[in-house]
Amino acid sequence: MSSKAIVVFYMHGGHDGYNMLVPLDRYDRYAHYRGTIAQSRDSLLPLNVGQGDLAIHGNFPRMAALIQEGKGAPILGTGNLAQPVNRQQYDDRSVVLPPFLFSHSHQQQYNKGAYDRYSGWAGRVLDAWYASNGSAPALSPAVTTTGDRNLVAAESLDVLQVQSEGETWQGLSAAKLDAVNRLVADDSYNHPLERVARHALGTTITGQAYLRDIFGQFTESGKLNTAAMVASKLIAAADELGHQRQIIHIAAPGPWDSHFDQFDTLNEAYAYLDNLFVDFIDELRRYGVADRVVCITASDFGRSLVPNNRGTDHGWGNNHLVWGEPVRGGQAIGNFVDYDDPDQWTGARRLIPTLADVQSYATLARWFGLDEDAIDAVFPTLRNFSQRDLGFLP
Amino acid sequence: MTDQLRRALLKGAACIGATASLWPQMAMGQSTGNPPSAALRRHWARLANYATFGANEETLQQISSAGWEAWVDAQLNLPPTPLFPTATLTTDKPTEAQLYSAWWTNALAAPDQLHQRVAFALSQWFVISTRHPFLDGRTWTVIDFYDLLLRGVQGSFFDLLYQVSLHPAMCAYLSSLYNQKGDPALGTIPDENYAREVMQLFTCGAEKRKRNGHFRLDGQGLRIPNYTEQDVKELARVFTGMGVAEAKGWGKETGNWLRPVIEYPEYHDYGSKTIMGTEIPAGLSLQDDVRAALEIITKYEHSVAGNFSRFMIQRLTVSNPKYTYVRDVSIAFMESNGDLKTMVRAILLHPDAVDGRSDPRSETGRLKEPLLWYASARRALAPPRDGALTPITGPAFNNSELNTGGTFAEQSPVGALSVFSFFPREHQSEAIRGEGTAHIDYVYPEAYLYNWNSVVRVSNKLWGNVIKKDADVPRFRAFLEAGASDEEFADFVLDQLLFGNHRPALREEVIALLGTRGASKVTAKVRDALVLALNAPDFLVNNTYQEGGQ
Repeated sequence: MSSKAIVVFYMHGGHDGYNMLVPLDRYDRYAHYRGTIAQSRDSLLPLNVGQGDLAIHGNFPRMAALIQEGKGAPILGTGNLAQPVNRQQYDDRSVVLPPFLFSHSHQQQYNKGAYDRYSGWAGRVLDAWYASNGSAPALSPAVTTTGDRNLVAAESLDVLQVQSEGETWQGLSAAKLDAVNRLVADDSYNHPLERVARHALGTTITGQAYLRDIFGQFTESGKLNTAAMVASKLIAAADELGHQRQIIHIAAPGPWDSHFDQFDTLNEAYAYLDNLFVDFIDELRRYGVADRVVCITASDFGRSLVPNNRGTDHGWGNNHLVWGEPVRGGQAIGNFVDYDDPDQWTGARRLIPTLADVQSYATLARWFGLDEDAIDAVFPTLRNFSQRDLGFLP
Repeated sequence: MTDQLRRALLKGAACIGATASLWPQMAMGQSTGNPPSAALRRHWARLANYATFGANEETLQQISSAGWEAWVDAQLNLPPTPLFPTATLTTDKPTEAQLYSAWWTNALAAPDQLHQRVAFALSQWFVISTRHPFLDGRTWTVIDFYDLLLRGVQGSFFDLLYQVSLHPAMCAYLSSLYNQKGDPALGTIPDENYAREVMQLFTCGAEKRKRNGHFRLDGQGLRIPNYTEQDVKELARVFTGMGVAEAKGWGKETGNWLRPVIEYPEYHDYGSKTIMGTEIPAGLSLQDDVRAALEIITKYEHSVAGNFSRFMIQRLTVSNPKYTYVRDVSIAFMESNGDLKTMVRAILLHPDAVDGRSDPRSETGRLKEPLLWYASARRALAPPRDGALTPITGPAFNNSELNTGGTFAEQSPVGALSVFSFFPREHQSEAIRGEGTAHIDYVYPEAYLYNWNSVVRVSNKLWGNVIKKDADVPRFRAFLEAGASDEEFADFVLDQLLFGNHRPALREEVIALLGTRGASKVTAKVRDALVLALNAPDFLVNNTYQEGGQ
């Protein structure tokens, strides 16, 4: 059985997905609502994926090409939902809503946790897969390359946090490392605090033992940032690590919380991201493992359609991208919002999602090989949505 | 804890019941009386770790002679040591390297350690960051903001909240700076960034709390919001028309970033606002509008007190305070109208902090985050006034040991990655999960910062900056050269660095390691013992492994 990996590029802070995608047949309405932060029509790149001549921001030429090759797709109108909701139901609060919409911390945790307070959906997907496919590897396949652990936090697996290739121990020779290791293993004082301290050092020592070796086996192209470079090597080494399924969290460099100076900030960020997203696939091709990897973007929430004077505020519904060799792309998933339909937005023009993020994540979990019961256990709200698979994977 | 011990601790008896164990005079400096009991030293060290950047011999001596309560009061009566003298901020325009140098010098050596520790906690509540484009390179306003927090320890929470809300560094960080009132013709609305975070993070929190820190629940067991989206929108109208003082006009980045922001009438929304059911009348100035709004959002004082008290307890003393501990601190906070000195006293003098607990399964203690791991090792190893720490002498001041934010990448002081600061306030370590229900609600937020990269980085910093430099640790060499056995030396090192708060297993490992070196290998033996003591899990924990009497 060949290994598979999911890579989540997280846009921390709430990315304005309506800055990234524009339907050219409704350009005038777009320009009307977005005012000073609207992109010029000429700068936009048509995608030929339907949905009103959908175009992507001009700083995404390589992603546009990938989508047109059928290796990627936009996912439209998606966000945190507990169940489907329309404007009337939102106004009446007559359905269950994710608590504290528009709050970074709440919505990010709702998105990463897919409902659960302590673990992330990615961690639970891996828990479920390894529970029915043999034992967990020594080094956890639930990987974050950021300071953020919540997306890949599992219930039984550990989190592997790897932000760089790391330093080698300088003060701890083998004999001293052995001594620290014995102290880590000594559980004679079973206080939770003491256990946490031992765990903090123990995972480091395990990581050092494996990872310095692994990273040394591959020579990077030098085109990626550190996080993506580390991720690509972990995927390339998946067989050796016993990682038949891996999920890796990478922070997409922003900043995304664009209250201020949105036009220039996002233009610059997109130019960087376009290269990072596609160079990452190229790097995986160099290592011969691109056919095993699917990438997806995620974020706290979308942003208000109507700007403040300089940027946008916290919103709800959003647009995302999914790409990679296994993706059945070339066609937009979901429907682009009708800017003028008051039933599609809340006050201050925050767009109500028409897809739930968990529908995308469940599609990924099914590609991993989870059965329907396991998928329902990982995503407790999925049964509230009729479409259990968005069809972007075989 | 025995009554005798508690009395001794609070009132400052020099010692009770001397132990027969080896007690080197040099460890106590000039002390000529009986050595203190090992139990008392463990206690003093645990308390010192609450209130300083790390227990050391000097602090232990102060606490032992004054008593804990008098020591805390003496600390609070010291003048706060600022990062920079305000007068020099305008002229010198300090660099980021100088900010970090000054921060670390204060953390390691300032006499008012308690101010420094509380200000560090406050900087994780009222968060700004050098990583913001407006603040990156404008270090003097960041320093001025941090010094506002340091001085703020002497005043009330509510005054500090007001000053923070009008400080240009905060206004820039949460984009209330140059925020305009809405324009119906253009369809624009004011930026809601500060309005949302000042409620969620700086005051009442998103959900209602009791004064004991627990969430209030409705009939269905769900948490109750403190405010609505409409409240956020209305509050956002308050924080409009704020500009840098002495700037050349609206939207300009020039001007005086050390003064509070000023009102730009053209851009401030003077209409009436209704927030949480209370109306602010039309026509108020920016300053009066802000004051009125802050009064409204702090009127649910149980939410503010419960939220803030739990946070401050977690940053200083224990990660999982009992609800009675939070309640007692909340009451002190509310009854003193938010006086921060009163609150800090209530936190540090509470029996739950002072006594610790003898039951190893109870909820005491705190994990040191990587930054405190380094700082406390550094303070315990080297006397705080050693040559490596030059006092602030002016613009040229630059301490090369720790002058970059990258030393503790995820936790550079005033350099958090987001407004949520260094770690989620209620992070659970995965080491606790899967443990059944016994510790289901335990949080150890600082565990969030421990990972493969940070551990090795801190360990290597300690090695390169401190341990390898023999000059920093002459007292260890001297002890060994005086003919100490491996057992005696292990006891001395563990007493000097962990003050007896460690497991017997650590002692055994140190002795075994020392035994692999011949007696003449003084340097190697000193290094071995220090490395093992400082990299042991025991050192990451502020707790007592052995409680009770001697």
